[in-house]
Amino acid sequence: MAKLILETIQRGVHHYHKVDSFPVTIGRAFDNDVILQDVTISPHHVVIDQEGDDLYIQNLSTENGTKLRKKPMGDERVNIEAPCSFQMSGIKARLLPVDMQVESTHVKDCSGFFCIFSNPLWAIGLLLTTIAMFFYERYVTTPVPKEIFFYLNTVLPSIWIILGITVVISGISRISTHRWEIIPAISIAALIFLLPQLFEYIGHYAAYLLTEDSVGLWLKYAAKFIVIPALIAVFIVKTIHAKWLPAAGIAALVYSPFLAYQVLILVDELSLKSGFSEVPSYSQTLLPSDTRLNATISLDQFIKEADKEVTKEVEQMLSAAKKKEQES
Amino acid sequence: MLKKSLLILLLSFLMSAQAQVNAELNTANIYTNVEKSVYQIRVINKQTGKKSSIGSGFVVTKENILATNYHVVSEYINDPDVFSLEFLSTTGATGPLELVDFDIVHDLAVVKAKQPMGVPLRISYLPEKGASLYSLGNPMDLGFTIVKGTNNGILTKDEDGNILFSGSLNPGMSGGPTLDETGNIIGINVATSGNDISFLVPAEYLTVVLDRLKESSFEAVSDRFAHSSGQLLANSQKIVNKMLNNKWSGTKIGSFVVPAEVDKSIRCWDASRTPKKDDLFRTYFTRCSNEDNIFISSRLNVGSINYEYMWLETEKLSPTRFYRRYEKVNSSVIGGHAGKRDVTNFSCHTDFTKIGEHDFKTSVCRRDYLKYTGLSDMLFTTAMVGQKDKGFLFNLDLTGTDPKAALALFQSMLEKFKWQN
Repeated sequence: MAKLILETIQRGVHHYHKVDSFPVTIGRAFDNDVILQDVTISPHHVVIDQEGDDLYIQNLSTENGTKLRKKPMGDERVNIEAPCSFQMSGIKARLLPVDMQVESTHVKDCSGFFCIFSNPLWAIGLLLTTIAMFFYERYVTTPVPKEIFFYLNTVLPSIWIILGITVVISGISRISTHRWEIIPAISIAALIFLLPQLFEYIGHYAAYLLTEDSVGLWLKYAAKFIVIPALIAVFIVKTIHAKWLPAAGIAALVYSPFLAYQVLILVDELSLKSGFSEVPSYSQTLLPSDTRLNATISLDQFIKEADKEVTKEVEQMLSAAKKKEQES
Repeated sequence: MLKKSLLILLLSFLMSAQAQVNAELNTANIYTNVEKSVYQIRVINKQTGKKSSIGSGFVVTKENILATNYHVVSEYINDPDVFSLEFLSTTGATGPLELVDFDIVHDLAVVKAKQPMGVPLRISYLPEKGASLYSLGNPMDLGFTIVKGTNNGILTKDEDGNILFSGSLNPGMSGGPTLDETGNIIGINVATSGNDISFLVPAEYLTVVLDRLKESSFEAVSDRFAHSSGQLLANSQKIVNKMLNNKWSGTKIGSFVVPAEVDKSIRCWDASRTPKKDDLFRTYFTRCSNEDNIFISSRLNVGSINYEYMWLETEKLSPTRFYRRYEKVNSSVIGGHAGKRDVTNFSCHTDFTKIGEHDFKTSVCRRDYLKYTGLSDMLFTTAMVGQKDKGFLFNLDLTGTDPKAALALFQSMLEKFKWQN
């Protein structure tokens, strides 16, 4: 039975070497016990020895050297205890006891809601639903007769974007788990388009229901800033079995270029809202179902209420402007 | 017989030639008589000492009092710390001027010089249509000129009641006098549309300002913005009240009968899209406007009244598709170039109201002018709801108005909406 395990981490890939006898030599030359093919490693880089129960490490490299506990080593032997980490030039290494506990196994969670995203039928279904939504959106916003090719022409780029996002998401999986996980990636990419549109429909309905267009605006922001990174994080947690916090970090990192763009738009919109605008902001939404909470009132009552409300608000704006002028 | 005819022809020719000579003499005499009472008015940038705009003016009522257009001296009125006023005579003499009073609605201003400026010109009534008129001024800073034209009467559709002068006015002649054949002022040059279509402010409005000044011993106005606000508000109330008292004719747009031209100053135009054979919906669009603006400054005009009706209907579109289109056109903005230095943001109120026995989603928006107290821009919009294949929009906006008067106009117009299948 091996006495120790030597773990080397080379460009993100972990290799494990059983150490049965001492001394054990590590380097690029073929006469070493552990051979590391990396140009930054010296032909004979490190030697690990045992005397009784004591372990020793000695740096043999005069070129790039070795670091122990983040400090460069000289050529003297240093007493160490397993587990112990050291770095040979660009390669990280750990000396681990054989009986060291390994992390518990992550069970593939396909019993919950996420399972449907891993199901090829569901994934294809979501993709087709999203494509159908693109068609529907284009169709309802085109109130003139058009041929099918017109809709195909406008919808095809969106389909290519979904496939592109699928490749990016599954690429994350490939890098971290060496699996492409294409099926859940398709589901997530489809949802990235489907959910914001769903939020927009809900926002539009709510805006008319409450006679308040800002509801729709906040739901749109929620979809852009929360729903899309949350979907990526769910993918990472469920397919790569990462913890929620690192998954959220990776999701934020992946989404950051789009997030930065969305933040720019949001800042612009907020500065427009807080600053001066020549355009009046009033509830413009119209719904064929006419579903609303506000009852119809008489014209006389409306004029009285409108006069009272806008007069009060405009007077507040006037006094604020006068105060600002006096201060300046 | 032939000899007699030839004699009549010869006499007619001689008389016509004599009349032409008399007319030329009249024009020359008029110019000679009044040239010493006509000046170029210059707005000078105090920092550079250079002129930033020019117009014309003339001596009236007193030897040191000159009349011109408000728009000629508006830069100075709105920013007296940056600009000053100066005159230039036909002989090349210059000197400072001070503002005394103005009528922003009729585009008139009265200024005062420190020394006598010449013989005051007399104000007279407008002669009959077709009479010759003589307009003086300094066009394009090229020198003092006289232009002969024809009186075509007061524009009855124009709220200001300006005179239509068929003669060629050019930039720089604004504020100059237009005289009748006896050399009396009947109007003040104010605007041109080119091709000999020019406009004059009737001299009677100047008489009102001069009478007011005589009562105050020609004391200069102290608060210019308050003075402007008062005039603009009174004018807005007068116009809207006149509209409210008019008997409105109705016009049918879709299934609604609505007020058409609410005043003779309003012109309505059909702006419907030309229908095509494969159209999935129909639109009827009528746009009405008073096509008038009161000049406040180079970037600020008020006094516009615009309203529009749009009817949409379909038999081929689903309610969702139809409402997407309906919602897209449910947007209204206000004209003009008022910026954050001029007005507050809009405040809006929206609710559902009963109009013409149908439900409408109605909004009222208001913004106030920062310097012109009591003056507002009002925007009203209403859209019929609850009909799956029909839509009706009404937008009304008024700039530089009394908000209460505007609300009354909006309410009255909506009350006249009648559904008629």
